[in-house]
Amino acid sequence: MDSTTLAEESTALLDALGRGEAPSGALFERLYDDLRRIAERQRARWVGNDTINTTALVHEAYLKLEGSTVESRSHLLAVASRAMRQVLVSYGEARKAQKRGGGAAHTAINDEIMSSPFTEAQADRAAVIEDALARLEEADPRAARVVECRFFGGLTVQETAEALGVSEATVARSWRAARAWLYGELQNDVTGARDALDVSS
Amino acid sequence: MTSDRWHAIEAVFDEAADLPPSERRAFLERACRTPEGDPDPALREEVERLLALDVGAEAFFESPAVPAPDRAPPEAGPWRLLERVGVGGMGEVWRAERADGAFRQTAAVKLVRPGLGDDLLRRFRSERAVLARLDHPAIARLLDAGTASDGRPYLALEFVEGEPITAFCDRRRLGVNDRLALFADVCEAVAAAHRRLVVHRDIKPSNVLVAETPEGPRVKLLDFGIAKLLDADGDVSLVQTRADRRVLTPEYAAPEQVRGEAPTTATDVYGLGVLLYDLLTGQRPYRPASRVRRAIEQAVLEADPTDPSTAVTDAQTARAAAENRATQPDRLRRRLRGDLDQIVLKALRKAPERRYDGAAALAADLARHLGGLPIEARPESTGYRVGKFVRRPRGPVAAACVALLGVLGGAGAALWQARAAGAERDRADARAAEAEAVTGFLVDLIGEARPSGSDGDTLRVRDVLDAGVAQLDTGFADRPLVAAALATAFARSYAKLGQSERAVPLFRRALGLRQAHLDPLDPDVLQAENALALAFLNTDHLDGVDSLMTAAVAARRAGLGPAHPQVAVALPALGLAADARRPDSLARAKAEGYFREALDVLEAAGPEAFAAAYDGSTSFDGFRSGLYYSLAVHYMTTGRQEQAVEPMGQAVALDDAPPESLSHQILANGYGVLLRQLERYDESIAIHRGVVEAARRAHGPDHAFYGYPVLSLGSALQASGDAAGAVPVLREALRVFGGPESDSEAALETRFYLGRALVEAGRAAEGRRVLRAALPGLATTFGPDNVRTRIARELTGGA
Repeated sequence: MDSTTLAEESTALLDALGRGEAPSGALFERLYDDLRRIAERQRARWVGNDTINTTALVHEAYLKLEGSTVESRSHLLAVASRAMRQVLVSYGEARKAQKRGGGAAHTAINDEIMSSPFTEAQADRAAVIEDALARLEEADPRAARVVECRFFGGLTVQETAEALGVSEATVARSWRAARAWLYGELQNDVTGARDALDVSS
Repeated sequence: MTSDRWHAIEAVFDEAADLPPSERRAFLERACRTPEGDPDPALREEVERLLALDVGAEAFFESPAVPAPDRAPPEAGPWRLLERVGVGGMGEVWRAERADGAFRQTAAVKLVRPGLGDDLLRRFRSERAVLARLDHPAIARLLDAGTASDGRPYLALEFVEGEPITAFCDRRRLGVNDRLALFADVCEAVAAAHRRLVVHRDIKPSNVLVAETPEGPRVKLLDFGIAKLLDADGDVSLVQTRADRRVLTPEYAAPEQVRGEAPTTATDVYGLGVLLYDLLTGQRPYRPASRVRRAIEQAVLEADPTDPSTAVTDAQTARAAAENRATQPDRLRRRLRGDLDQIVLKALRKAPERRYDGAAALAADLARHLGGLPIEARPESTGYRVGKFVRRPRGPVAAACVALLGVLGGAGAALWQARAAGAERDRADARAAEAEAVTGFLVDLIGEARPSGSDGDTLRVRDVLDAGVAQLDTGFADRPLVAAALATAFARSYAKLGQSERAVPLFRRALGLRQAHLDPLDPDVLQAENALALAFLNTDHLDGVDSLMTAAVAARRAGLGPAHPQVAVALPALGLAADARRPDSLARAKAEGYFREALDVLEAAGPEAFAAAYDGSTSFDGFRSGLYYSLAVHYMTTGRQEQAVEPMGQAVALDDAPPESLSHQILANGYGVLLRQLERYDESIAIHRGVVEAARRAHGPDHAFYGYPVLSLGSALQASGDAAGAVPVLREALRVFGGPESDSEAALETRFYLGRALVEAGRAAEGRRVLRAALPGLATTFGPDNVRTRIARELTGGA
């Protein structure tokens, strides 16, 4: 795939989005497919939550992409992964805000989206992950990018390496340590290893 | 964590993780070094921690969240896996049937996550005989265990159709009695298992299924004994032990499980208690501040469960809970209040030995309740609840009363001690005899009041007191000093129960009896005077304080000398009474003089004389700290903040109470308020944060003693201009004080600050809504012209 063309196309697309115009064309479709794939993986990750609407996730991720510059399709995947992180964080925040006091929900995503599809437990988990990730980011920004791609974007090691322009070995190393560290943080959270073998159905 | 540190951890971890476990130790020994080449134990510890997490992290992050459709399920011994019906932290659950065609049988097969079931098969073999004996119609049987074709250990259990008991009851809108009937079946099954020495360890709704059958609903308990198979038992590392413990749902875990202690049958009684709570109220017993595991665990260990009847008071939840139980909120509340509250709370006690003696005893008490018979459960001693601060919080003055409560009350603490000092020998003997008589009487009293079969320490304190007071009138005509000692003891107990009105006549009586039979300056007379003065203060009988203590101070000065510590002990009551008068009254202005004089007297008397004359628990410095605090509060409440700085500083410097103590928290809180009033916001907020922290540790997240410091922090944030930061803090305070509709004084105060903070944070509409809703309550409670009422009216644009 010719990444130069893609970069131009991407830029045009994002510019269009930035101006509030409806995106169109081949790139939009490709981008849409990428986001959709990421969104579907993400949805599966938050097990059993049918209220997370894939299309809504995609659209919200779009809005997050606004203003980003994209160099290539690979890079776009990294940016999209990051957007997905932001969407899920705002889902969590919206849920918290709903719980705290209804009308106060500032989802920061889109004023139309006033209700979060997250359960409280998912919101808690999202908050714990975000909190941990932010701390990791301070120590090692690249590790945080890797987590975004691997966890939020659902990218493979190879895709992540391409998206971030580093070697696969580097990704694997970053990921393994970050993963263990994050898991430790999650373990301190109730939702991390929740409700074991629930045979309720 | 710094960047260098993380990269060091990452590098060592990466290499170590690829080594076989046997070689890791030597590698870490070599690799965990500082840049200078010295051993770095912290680095090593962190790497070892991450290594222990690696397997779990892989399972968590790499396992497909849904089964890949193109991947065939593994074979599990004779079982063919048909359909995945559940997934969770422990692994997956599949519906399965026998593949060997030996006979038709359906099972639920649990594939245990790698890392959790390493020891499963060995444990299964050792437990097999025990579990095989668990043949009960309401208990799902464990059929088999083994290793699946993909290497995961599996357990095969009887497959059970049905839904969790709570969902079942809600969907059919079963009333309380029907729920109790189903719950009795659960208790019966648990009791049967206990008779065979099997403990469930993980009772929760998803493990208690109910199915509709032609004979009516049928209960089935899942996973009996499973937790033990998955649990670590001594031969594994601590890390694994901790990881295993985390498998339990903390909301249903008993305190001993949270502490990592061995579960017993009492653990199941606790689990049944949580389940019953859920069935009756639709809620869990605790309101942890957050859903983070630590917060829940802390609540399980420390917080008092909310009474079930109180849990259904919050308007929104009450409506839903009542609807699901085919009743009205009011009726549900009344139905739960009393017996059912007590039964649930007894099952939920922190100490295992204080719960019901097994599931059968719990079921029996429920049966007594349903049959209209008196139940066994009685409220756990409520004596520790100091009602005053909670019931009538009146800001700093009430706070000062509490601070001095220890000071004045402590003056009589020696009732049970025989003081033997030289010439006092005879008197000491008399007191010892008196103490003996009092103790004997109390023992008899408790013996008589004890309902057969119940444990003595759960008697209703009130009942004992009432019975005792009745006998006081008839039984002690010839022993007036014993009667006085008893009256004092009863009065103090009433006061602790928050019933100061009942305490006053008893203190008065004790004083009368002692004055009639002892020297007017006898320590016991002085103690009775001090105690009565405090009771007067707590019931707002200010004239009573004045006349009693003015005379007492004069008598003490004349008889004991002007610098006697007992003069100093009498003065603060006068000061506090003066301070409780209207702000502009002449009487109030005298408060300052009383506190100053008490301080001067103490200064002159010195610590040794104080210790000799005063046998309470407060130290010389602690007493002076309380006086300086009262003085500072007096200045603060009369608009002289600058003048309050010096005594407040003294109070803080002399304070020797631990951070967990209420008196320290009250003092620090007052200091924070003063700093806020002086617009020294950073210092104020820092102090309030400290108090909030300590109060939470000391009293738990639902106690008003925690709520007040949170409110103070919120108002300090608001005053500092951080309105947005104040909002969540004030909401937390409001939660403690009963929620947005509560009309208590503390709640109204909180609602006022919250509304104001919202308006200032740019959420004007929401803020005005809060203020408008609070206005009627503010006007009634604080008065229509109070500054809060006025500001609320202005902000809502009202006339």
